[in-house]
Amino acid sequence: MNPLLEQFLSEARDFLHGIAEKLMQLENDPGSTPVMNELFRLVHTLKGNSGLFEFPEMTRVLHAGEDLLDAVRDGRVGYSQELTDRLLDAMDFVNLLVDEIESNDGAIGSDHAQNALRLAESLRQLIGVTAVEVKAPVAEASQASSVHNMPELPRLAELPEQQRMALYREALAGDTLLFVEYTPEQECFFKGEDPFHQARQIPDVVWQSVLPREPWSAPAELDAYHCNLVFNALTTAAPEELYELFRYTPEQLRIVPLPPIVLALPHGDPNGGPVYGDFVTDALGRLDTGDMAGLESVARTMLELSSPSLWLSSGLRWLLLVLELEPGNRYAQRTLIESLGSLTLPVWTTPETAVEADSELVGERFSEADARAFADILQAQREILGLPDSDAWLPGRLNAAATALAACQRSAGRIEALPTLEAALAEALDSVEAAPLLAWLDAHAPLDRSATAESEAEAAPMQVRNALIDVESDNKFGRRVEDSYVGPKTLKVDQDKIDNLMGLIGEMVVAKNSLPYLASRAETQYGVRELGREIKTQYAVINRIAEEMQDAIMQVRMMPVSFVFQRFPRLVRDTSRKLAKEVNLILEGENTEADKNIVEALADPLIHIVRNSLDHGIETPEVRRAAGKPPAGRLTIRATQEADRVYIEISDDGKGIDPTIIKRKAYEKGIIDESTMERLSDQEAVNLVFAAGFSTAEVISDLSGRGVGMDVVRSAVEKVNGTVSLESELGKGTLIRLSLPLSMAVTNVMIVESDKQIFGVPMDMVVETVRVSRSAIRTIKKRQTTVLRGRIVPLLALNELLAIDAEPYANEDDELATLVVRVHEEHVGIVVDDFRETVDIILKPMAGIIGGLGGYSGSALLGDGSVLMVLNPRELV
Amino acid sequence: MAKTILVVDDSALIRTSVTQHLKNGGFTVETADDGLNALNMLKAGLKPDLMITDINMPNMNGIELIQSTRALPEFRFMPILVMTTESQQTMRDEAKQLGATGWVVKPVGGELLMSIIKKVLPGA
Amino acid sequence: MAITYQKKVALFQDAVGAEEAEGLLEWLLKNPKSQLNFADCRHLHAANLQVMMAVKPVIAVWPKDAKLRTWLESALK
Repeated sequence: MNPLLEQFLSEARDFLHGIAEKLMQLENDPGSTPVMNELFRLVHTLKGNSGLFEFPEMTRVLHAGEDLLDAVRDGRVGYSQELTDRLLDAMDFVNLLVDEIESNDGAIGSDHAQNALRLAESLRQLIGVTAVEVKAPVAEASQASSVHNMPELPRLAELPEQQRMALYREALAGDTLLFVEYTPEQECFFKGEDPFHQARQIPDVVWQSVLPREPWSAPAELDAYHCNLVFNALTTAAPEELYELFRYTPEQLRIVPLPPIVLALPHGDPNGGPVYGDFVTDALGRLDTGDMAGLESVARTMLELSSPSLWLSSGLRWLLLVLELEPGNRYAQRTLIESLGSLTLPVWTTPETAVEADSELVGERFSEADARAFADILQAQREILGLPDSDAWLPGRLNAAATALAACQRSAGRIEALPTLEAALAEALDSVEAAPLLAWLDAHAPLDRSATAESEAEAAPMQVRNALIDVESDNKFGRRVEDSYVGPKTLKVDQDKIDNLMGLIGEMVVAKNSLPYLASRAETQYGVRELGREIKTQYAVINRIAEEMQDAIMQVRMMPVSFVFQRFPRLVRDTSRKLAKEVNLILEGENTEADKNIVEALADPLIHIVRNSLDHGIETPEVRRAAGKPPAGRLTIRATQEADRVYIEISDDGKGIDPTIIKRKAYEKGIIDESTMERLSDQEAVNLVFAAGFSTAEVISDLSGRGVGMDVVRSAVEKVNGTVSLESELGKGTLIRLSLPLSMAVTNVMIVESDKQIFGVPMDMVVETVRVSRSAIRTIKKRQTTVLRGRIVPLLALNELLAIDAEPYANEDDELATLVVRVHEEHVGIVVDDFRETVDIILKPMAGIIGGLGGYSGSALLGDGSVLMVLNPRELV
Repeated sequence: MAKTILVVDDSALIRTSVTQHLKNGGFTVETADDGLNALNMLKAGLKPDLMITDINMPNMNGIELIQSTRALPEFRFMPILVMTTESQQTMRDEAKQLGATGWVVKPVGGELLMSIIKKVLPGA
Repeated sequence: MAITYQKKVALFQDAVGAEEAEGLLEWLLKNPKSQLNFADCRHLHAANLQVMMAVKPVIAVWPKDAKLRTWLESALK
């Protein structure tokens, strides 16, 4: 899989976790702006990332989610549980897609498109009509701005006459002439703008000028950074090009399409010579009678009589040119002749509006952006209506679409279309199909460029993706990004790499352990005591470094338990809603860290415990009220660290466990016999829930009663060398405590000897080592026991447990070496022949046939190369 | 001399993609993963010719970054582009108001990115 | 790049940024009879342009780039 996609998937999971978490937080605190903003950011970024690849289904849903959140953030849509529900559903869907992309080698099956549409629709429904209504004022605003766009004539007279005349010819030949006036904001320099650079990019400029906006202040008082410029240009460029160029500051741009005649502005010396009043009358008379040849003739004569620099001459030149090029434009000709009489500039009326993006779809009063928004809304309705008619909720969908369309029409001021829309809706509802509405939509808003725009938009990610793929093949670019000033603070490393490191340090520990053997051989076998001592000194150094290294690697593998905790808010919420219970979840110590394997191993047992607690522990609000408790139950999950162990406590204030029921059940299931039932203390009875095959659920619910009980929890916890205990008070609540090692990679074992073989016993199970005098051993009910520190401890011989046919070996004082281990919170003495040292080992689970053997938790390699079998007293005893 | 562009985005993916386009366009690229880091880089002496920043980022968002950057005398006039998605019209306007030069709509292809940069960066 | 100030001539090189405008204004005020040389200039920021429009210095050499020259002439002539 392509590395970028991998990165995307890995990030996507993080984002989805974050989104779920924030949604939960939002539920508890719907008004929180930081949470809302963060939530929006997460959804937004994930959407952005998904857009880099071709996952339209994912992007569609996320986009809808983003829009919805945006609306909530702006206060356009209120917060509701429904909203959280739909968003969670949507994120579940995205999660599903992420999984599928990963397992399906980067592709999403085509069968998700409908779900994506439906989910996006369900999210958009929540924004739905509101969004359209909000649009309306925008439309009014843009109408106001089009008044502002009413052009006053540019200072065209500044353009030399000759040039204007040349332009006049060109413009008549077909090039639309645009006058561009660009007035940058006074503070624009402080926004990184360079208006001169901007102006220079205006294409096809035929004339330009730069003028001060206000008269220049004295140079000494000039503020160089207060922009006082106005740029004017005449261009034959297309208006779209200009709007594109000025897309960041459209309000500073004025574009006036000029009818060529506006260039006809006489200029020059107004007082230079005689103006024959009868010339004007004569000329007008000829014009009225259509004597064009005569008109041209008198104008030419007049021009010859006048000095070329005169205003009059200029006017005559224009008249002649207009007569030549626009012989039919009587209006222009008359205006020019009249202006010659009055010696005032002709007043050319310019077209009413500046060039606006055409938006025939929704009427002229909408800006391009509005038009696009409308097109989007219409397109969305089209897609919704295009969904299969067989869905049971079709009427709801039809109504929603019709409402949205009606709102569009109202905003666009097309009230006349509403009755036909209503008729179409009625017809659609009657016939239970979307077709009539679709037909209406086609008639009133034909599929147009909005569709093309969409297909372009869809094509864009493809390009990006292709470009990205090229990136990977070209490694030399990879460097510089990493060279940034502030490097990333966290690295994402594949777990395999850490595991590899872990394996290596394990081998190092083992290799290091061979040094003491070497030292003693140097001494005893080769008789070089000096060397032996030196090896020991070196060993101490290597040992220290190895330990630190091991520690450091452990640290890398540490992760906060929040990794597991973060799923609980959602779990508790969903479960309690399903059970119609009210539950406040309190999470504490989420930052407590433990080895990744441990934290991961915690997940399933914890989920089971929490489900149990919700299902059997916490009562319904009515029951709670009757019992004098607050209606909402409390579930606390707390993580703490003490020395090298992590404790997780799950407590609730529910109904607790009734020991009598437990005893009865256990008896009925044959787990205990009658006499045991009589004898068991309440605490012991409660602990029976951990017995295999025990499940207390009166009714098997679909939550926790799946035939697995607390015994599964216990064995899962024990698998990572953890323990679980339970305390419960009837009517008050239950507390379950998990105790787990911080890490499991390196195990400290004590080596014991029995029948000339050595075995390892995990140190965390060893309570103490004692030598028990044979005389202190009593046989109670056929079992050998002794009393240690006021406690009866059963004794078991290791040889016997392992079916080794040999008697325990006692020392000279007739004492038996006894290893006291803790098994299920009970102390058991294991009689061995002798104790040896403790060593750190890397425990390897046993594979193959011996893997099936009970009683062993694994094997390890010792420093001298021999194999140590490590016992699992829990299974052994 | 190649112009330097600082790209700020919390998504490594977007950073990588934009960086690649820019490098292909002959620019020197520096990257930061949030506003705070970007600001620190500027304060530490980085002098880009253009900054392109995302809006929604942890620690310091793009809007705050723009404001803080404009407050530094040597970056009063630097062109700044914000990267937004299609739907973030209000954000764009706010950013523009507070000192951004323009915006880029994500996801963006290399050619389009180059043409946008040419528009705001004289001599690019 | 920047502006190089010689005795009576300011040389504009490459693309001159907004930062230079204040210095240019100061220099023009201090050296009223100075001239500007745009021979190696590809662009100048609008801030510099308006300083020149306000102070109206003598242009010794116009830019080689014809379009830039036209714009400058339309502003300064």
